[in-house]
Amino acid sequence: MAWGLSSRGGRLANARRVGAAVVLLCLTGTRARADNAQHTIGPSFQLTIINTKTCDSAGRCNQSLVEAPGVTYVATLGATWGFQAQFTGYFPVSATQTVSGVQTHVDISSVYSSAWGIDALFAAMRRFCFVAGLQLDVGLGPHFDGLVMKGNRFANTGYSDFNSFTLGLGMNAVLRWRVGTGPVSLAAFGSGAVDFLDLLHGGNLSVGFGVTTGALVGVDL
Amino acid sequence: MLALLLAGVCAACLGPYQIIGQELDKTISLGDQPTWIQATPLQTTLLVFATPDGGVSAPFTLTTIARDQSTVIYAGDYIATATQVTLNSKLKYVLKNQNNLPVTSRDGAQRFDVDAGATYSSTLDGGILTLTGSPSLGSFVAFPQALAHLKATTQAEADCLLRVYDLTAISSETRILGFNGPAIIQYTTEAGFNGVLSGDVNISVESLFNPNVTLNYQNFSDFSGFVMDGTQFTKTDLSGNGYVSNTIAFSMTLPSSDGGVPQPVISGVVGYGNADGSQPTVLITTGTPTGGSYTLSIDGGASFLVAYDVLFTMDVTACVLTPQQ
Repeated sequence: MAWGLSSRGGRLANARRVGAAVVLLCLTGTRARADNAQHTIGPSFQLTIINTKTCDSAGRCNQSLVEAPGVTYVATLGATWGFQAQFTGYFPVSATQTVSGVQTHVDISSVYSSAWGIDALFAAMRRFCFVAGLQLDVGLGPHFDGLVMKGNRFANTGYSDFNSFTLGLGMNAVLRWRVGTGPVSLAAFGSGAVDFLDLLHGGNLSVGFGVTTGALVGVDL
Repeated sequence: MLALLLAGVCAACLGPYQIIGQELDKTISLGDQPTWIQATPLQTTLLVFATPDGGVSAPFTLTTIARDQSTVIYAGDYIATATQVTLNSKLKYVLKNQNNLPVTSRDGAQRFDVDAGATYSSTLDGGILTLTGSPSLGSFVAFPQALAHLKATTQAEADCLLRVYDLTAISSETRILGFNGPAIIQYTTEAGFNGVLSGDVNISVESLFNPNVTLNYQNFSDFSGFVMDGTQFTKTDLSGNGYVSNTIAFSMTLPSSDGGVPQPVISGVVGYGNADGSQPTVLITTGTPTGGSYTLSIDGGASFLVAYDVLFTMDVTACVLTPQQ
């Protein structure tokens, strides 16, 4: 029994030593400190999916899927634990609307005079470091997505507007690689969100999904 | 930006989601076409059968306006033989009476794509068109014939005439996506909607924080012989409280038996109110008329004040001569 305790304690101590070494390695590599901030920005791709409660008699509900390139800014504050904020401004280029099981592809520029959106995620962050100069920031927190598409109006006809402002829970992961020993880093990121509420359409939202992915370049300040 | 601002001041403001790529107006005016009507105390049903232009099928609309103003319109193509009519509906418009709800909770006018066919046995006897099937549509009379004796020499006749006028008004509003609901805010950029037979109605909303609505009818006709021309202006605050003003002229004509100029039945002007909201003016509370009067002025005749709630009971049987089933 005593040996077992000793053994378990030894393994725990070993684990702590390894963990401390990894964090030290990570901190050495990234120069990240508890009080510094990392700012990154880059191109991204946003997928917004809105499942509504508007259904036909066969129970098939409407779904809107919007694809959009964008620009994403990610800021992190902290070291092992910290705070992460991600903002994406995006500009829809195509969409797929499903009604009664029938999918219709829509070219945004031919239907809407303006189309843009903002996606934001505010997350509690945990940092993982694997090797010198490489870190993974994973965050979880509230998600917001606003989409505005203004229908073209011309002659005596046109298209209806499409808007949404959804709220939910999102998760974000940023894999950051330090360039040399300087403050510059390159990163790839991906985030996903599940939204349950739409401030513009209330009870008509069944569930919404947001997926964003992209590449980033940034600096430590 | 508008939508995000809106999100800041309200929740669930815009009703159900719109469809991406949804055309506002899918109506192509048909020109003057045969229109049939059936009126009962519970509902009024109007059928427009366009004349087949050398083809087998032609467009139709089937409009049902319930006593409480709730309206459903089916539109599509029909195929007719000597004894049968098959209606193939492609579009369904719905405008429910949701006057008991705040504007932000209403669905507003909606349009759905449908693929529904129904075949009826048809007979035309003595000017009465009867469509039987499951469910049976019943018997109809030609719209101009049913309205041939419209007049307004008494208050009761004026009340009924305003209801007949409202058949076209409601029919037009049912095809304006989002009308009477929060999605009407999308018309801060003006949009136009064609009449089934002729003309159009343009709708515009002043701004998000001044949601005043202008409806401008130009030679608008959904049913044979009945035409609307003019402007209705609704001035309200964000809660839908305010009043209606301006005037819309209307006219009812009968086709000439010799194919010449249509013969006038009745024409006049419906006044919704004064620009400053002074009486007589129809007052609006939370998006629903709650006081005041319409002014019905008959060309060459008298003027009547028609109470705001007369249109809450859409029964036109007193002045429209049609089969009752």
